[in-house]
Amino acid sequence: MHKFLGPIMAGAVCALLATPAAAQETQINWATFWVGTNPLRPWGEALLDGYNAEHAGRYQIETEEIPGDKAYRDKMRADAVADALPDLITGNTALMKDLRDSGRVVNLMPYLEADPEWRDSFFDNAFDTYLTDGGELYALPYSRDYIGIFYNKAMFEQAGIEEFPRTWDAFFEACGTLSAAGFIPMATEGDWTTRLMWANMIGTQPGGAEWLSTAGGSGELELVGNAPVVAGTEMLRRMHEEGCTNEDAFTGQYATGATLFLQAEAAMIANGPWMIPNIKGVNTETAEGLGEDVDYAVSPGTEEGRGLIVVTGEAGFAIGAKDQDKIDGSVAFLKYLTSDEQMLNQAMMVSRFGPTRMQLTDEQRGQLEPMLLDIVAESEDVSFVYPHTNITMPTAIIQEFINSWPAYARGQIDTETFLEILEDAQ
Amino acid sequence: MQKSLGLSIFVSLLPAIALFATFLAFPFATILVTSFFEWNASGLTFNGGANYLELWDSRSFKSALQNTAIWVGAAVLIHVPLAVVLAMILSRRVKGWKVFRTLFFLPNIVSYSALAIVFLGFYNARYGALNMLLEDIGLGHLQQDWLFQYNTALYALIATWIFHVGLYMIIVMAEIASIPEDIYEAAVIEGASDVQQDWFITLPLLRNVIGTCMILTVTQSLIYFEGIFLTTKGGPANASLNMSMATYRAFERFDWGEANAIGMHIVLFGVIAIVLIRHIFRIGERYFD
Amino acid sequence: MSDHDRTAWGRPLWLTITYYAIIAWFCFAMLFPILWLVLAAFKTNAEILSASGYFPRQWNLGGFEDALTEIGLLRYLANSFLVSAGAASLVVMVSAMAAYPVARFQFRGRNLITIIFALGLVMPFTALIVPETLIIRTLGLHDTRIGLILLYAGLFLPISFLVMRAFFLSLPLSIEEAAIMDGANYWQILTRVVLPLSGPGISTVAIMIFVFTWNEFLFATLVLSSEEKRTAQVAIRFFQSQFDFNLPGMFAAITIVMLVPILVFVVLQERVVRGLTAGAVKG
Repeated sequence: MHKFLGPIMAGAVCALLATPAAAQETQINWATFWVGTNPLRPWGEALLDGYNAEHAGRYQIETEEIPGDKAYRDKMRADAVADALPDLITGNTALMKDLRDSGRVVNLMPYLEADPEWRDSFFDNAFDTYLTDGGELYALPYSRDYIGIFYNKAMFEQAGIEEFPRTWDAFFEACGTLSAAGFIPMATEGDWTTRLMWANMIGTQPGGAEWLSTAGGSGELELVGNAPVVAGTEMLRRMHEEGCTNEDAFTGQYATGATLFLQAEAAMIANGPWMIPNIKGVNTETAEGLGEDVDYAVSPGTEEGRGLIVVTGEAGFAIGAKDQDKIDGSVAFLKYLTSDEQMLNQAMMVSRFGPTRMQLTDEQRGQLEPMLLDIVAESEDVSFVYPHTNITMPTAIIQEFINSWPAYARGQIDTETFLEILEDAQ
Repeated sequence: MQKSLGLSIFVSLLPAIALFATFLAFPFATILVTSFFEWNASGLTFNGGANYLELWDSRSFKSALQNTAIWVGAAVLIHVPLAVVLAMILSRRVKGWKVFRTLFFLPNIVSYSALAIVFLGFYNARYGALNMLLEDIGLGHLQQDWLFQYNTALYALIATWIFHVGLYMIIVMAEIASIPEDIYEAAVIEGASDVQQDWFITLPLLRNVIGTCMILTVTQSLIYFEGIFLTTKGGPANASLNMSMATYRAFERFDWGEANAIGMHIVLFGVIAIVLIRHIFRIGERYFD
Repeated sequence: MSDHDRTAWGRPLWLTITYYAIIAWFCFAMLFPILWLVLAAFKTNAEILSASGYFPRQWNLGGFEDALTEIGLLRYLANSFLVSAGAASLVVMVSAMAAYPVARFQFRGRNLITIIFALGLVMPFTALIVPETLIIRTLGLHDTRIGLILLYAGLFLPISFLVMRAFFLSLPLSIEEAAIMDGANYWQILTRVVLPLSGPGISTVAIMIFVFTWNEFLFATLVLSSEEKRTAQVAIRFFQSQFDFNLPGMFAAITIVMLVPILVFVVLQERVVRGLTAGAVKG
């Protein structure tokens, strides 16, 4: 018996030694809120499966699922202070900027420069949002949003309106007509969709688009006496005064406005293309035939032309890993994320484009939502392009907008006071 | 004996002290110290009392103080008395009291994320049950956007919580349960009515527990946050902003030094309130030597 | 004298009516929201967010299906129970041990302890996010249930200390004095005399802490990260995101999740009832 023991033990030792070598798979932790009902979830799952399959044996991404973007943000900020960030973090501009300032995330510029092909696949201005003055990049954008206004063609027809208004005058006229026909013209809730209209109304004023595009860099914003802001803000109030919106337009709950539109009680809503799956009835009950009735339009404007919110990199990815191997694996993930294949996946699965110069074949175009392609095509045809207020304005102003907007819209404070309050908030 | 008693007391207190030191003392120190710093994403910078000066100068903080005071007033003058009355009635074992006790505790069992949606619906300006009810009973002119109208927001929010007295009710009931029967003997023999017994015998015996409930309700009101955050977020125009919500706002915009300066006010007011209530209700004036 | 003499019978009619009028109002004020949310579990998103009447047009079980399959709620109920039961027992034990001497004995630092513990009642939760994260991480307790239980125990210690102390204060002194005469030491008095007499107080505190921790979401997210430890409250949030929501699913999940504390409440409150009826311990 003993003769056998030697070889067996040797074999066992070899096996033990070999096991760690074979299992040199690096675990990468991705904390994500693309879970539950989050519209980005299907794409997130595809990314995960694809990456893990492609890097099997080398890298393995595991997710930590945190429901709700607010809880996610709170946790990530606390983890940044505790110097315990996960390897991969995703989030909107505000969070990415916080992480940048915390100095706890990896500067991605060297990795982009080491791979010029990857770097050049992005649009020229794609990195602007996250670039520091010193040319460092702390978050990689993965989105390019064309945010227009959804409208219900059937309701417009019933009210006798032939085309989506091209000017604000026509817009207010259409509101009156829609109201008279018994519809709620525009669904809002006093937060996100209201602020999109605010951006549209500022951005189509003379000088407005330029202000929205450039003011967000650094320094304090000037709002009082700022001509496009004053005009845009008063127009937004007019929208409320003239009864263009729902009676419960101040709840601050996305569900309030969205439901009105999805149930075909309201004729318009400003929102990003990620709402398209919902409109088509994915994961939600909509009014019958809504998917066919809805079209997507750019914002009304002036005689000079119409406007459109285009934002590159509203959302980004940052790397919190410290270990070089994990950083490399995370960078590989970012490359995979922004590959043509996955950018197309994003467009197909969640109706959102990426910040890369992806060339689409006709066949690929056929797989995308026509509304999404239309809005991109129309973006060539607008005179004003500008970001929304999440990009231009700090959290403090947005917070104060939500807080004071109801009082302003109801005429309890005047424009100057309102803008002064917003300005003081920063 | 004396010495070993001292040791026993110390050992008895130790786990609580350890837990407190770990999970509350350090956070308290953090809040206190960083309230004198500017604390944002880039880190901490000492700025003296600038956070405090800024607060005392800000209009929104004044609204927060005022609203918090109203809230605390409602808690003390309405919330706890309701709980005591209800506890006394149920302790009289009216028929079905056990069922009522469970039912009345239900709102405390449900998380506020659910109740917030219910109340948003109840008060909604377009389809809310309250407005419909007013319409039905011919008071249509009183219809409001209750939660998002400057004059009504705070009171609408207070009303969502003021009747949910289940927790204090069961605390008081548990106390009533431990009152020895024989205390009532003489009164019963002399023919004192229910109400007289409750008023002259039970109520004075509840002094400690009512004081405790007062402390709880005041401190809970000071840090009450979720129900506001999930509905009005303190708006419109700070009409429903309380100190705790103000803390969250500062926290959200990464102005953590200021958030903690507000937090220190909450702590200070809380401690003052606790000392006052202990004094007024003479809590704990009874012990061995 | 049995306590029936001062309870149910022989009460004047007007008083009975007053009692029931008050009870009726509270039934309305408290049950309206609960009924509403239970009914909402059977509705659709659109019905919940419109004037669709109190009852669902169609009794729709989709919400319950989503709650059970989509977020796998039942698996997480066990986690929640573990954490809440653990925290409640720990808090009850620790706070009883701390509250008893403070309620009964004169010693140096006695008032100081009460005031210092009271600080814990007024710390806004938002201000605690960062410090608690640091502590949990430093202690190596991140993503452990025991970490969350300890954290809850710490956070809810002051409140249960306060309530427990109030209950101890009103226990009659005479029994303990008798025990001291008999030569019982501190621990014997605490465990054999005081705690058995404090059933109503202990079960009330236990219920209170169980419910608080059962509904807690923020720190559960901060401390736990792996899926197999997720609590039910965290799972429920999977039904709501910035741009999409499944309200029937959420209300169905809330309805299911609500059942556990109700059960705990009913079971633990029986102790209070027994305390009431027993009246056994004469002062």
